[in-house]
Amino acid sequence: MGKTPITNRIRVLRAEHGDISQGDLAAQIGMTRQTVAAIEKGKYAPSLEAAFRIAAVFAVPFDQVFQYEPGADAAFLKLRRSAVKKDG
Amino acid sequence: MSFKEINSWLVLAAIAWLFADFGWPLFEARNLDADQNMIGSVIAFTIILVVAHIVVGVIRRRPAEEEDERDRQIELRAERIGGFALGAVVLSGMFYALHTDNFAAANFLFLALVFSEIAKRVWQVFLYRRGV
Repeated sequence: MGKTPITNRIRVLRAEHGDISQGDLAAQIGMTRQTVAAIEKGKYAPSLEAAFRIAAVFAVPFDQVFQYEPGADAAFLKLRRSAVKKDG
Repeated sequence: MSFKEINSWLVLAAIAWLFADFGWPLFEARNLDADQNMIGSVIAFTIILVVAHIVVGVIRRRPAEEEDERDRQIELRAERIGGFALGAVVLSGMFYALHTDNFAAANFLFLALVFSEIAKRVWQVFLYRRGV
């Protein structure tokens, strides 16, 4: 899987919350440690439910954990361009 | 590496062995009718996999993690490729059976494709109605 256009601050938040390990975070949200590592590296975009769970573990709003930059999402930009073309 | 990924490597290695043990002699002899002791190969394959799993379990010294959404997504994508490969091979087998006038095998393989497509579409319609 390639890089996702969604970035996150999970590594920083783990450090800020008593250096919680990837394994501990994974256990709290029902994932494997490898999946948490993949999310941190931007190699996997979690489901909305899992993303909200991560925010809930750190007790912070969703947008303090995950960020989305539309300009970095090549697929989204392509879709918008073709939709604009269709509309004339 | 997650247990699921290790499992995939183990199965891949065991299947490579199965291909070498069962498939290669058939390929080399250019004779699909040869009695290749399929049951023996399948039993050996199963034993190899079970032993490999036990060895990995002992080496890792921790229980296998439960699979999560990423594992399921990877599995689904891989299943799709496996499905294409299986369909292509069954289709080839069907044409080979027709070519060699083995109509029972050809009909059976054709019906297998039809049943598989029915199962897929029924499940798809059900999921659209029920929601996922």
